[in-house]
Amino acid sequence: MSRQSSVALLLVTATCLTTSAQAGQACEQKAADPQAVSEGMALAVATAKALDASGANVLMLARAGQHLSAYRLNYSHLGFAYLDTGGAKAVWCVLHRLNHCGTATSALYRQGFGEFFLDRPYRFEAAFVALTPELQSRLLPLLKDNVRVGVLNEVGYSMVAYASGQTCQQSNQ
Amino acid sequence: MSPTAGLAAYATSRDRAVAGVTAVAAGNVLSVAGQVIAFIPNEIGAALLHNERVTR
Repeated sequence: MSRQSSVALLLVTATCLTTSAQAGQACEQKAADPQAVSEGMALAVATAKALDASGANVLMLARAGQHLSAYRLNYSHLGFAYLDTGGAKAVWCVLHRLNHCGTATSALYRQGFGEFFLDRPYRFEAAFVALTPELQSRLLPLLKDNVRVGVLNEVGYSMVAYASGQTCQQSNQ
Repeated sequence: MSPTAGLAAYATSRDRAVAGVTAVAAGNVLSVAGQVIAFIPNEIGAALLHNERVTR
């Protein structure tokens, strides 16, 4: 994720917890430990507060699903965060692609920040960047529309992004 | 019976495992023997939990 001078890159951090994780999503089946759930929900709360304060309603949101410092990368997974004001109370949602564990397929999911950060990340840290106001206004209705967001969906998944790739999609760069 | 009392009774009767309730800003984490058995969200937590598969 590159940083642009016209937008602010903000970090939200909880205390570190060392756990093993695969790609942007933990695939190992094991019971959650209380510290991980506490840390994940704390990061979800902190992220929601930070996004509330940003004044934006559509942003790119990243998490550190796996340890990528060897590649000089901090974050392994990206999604679109947006504020859904359609209910009785405005809530933040993330629309993102998840690889199905042990397969080369994926699907789009809409999740709350709780699920997003309870996926056993390598580090309990998030980053976000607000999109330009024009892009926010154009994307917001699209992100809420399950039919339209699925139009360009491709089931095939590659954990590595190729700029010229036309057969697979991914969610990490 | 409160969640804490219920967990204590479960732990005593079944395997003497350590039961606990951890309060966080988003709710309460219930655990037995170091493993989470439930998360009970409060109003803040409920607003942060949603899971929907959008595409097949």
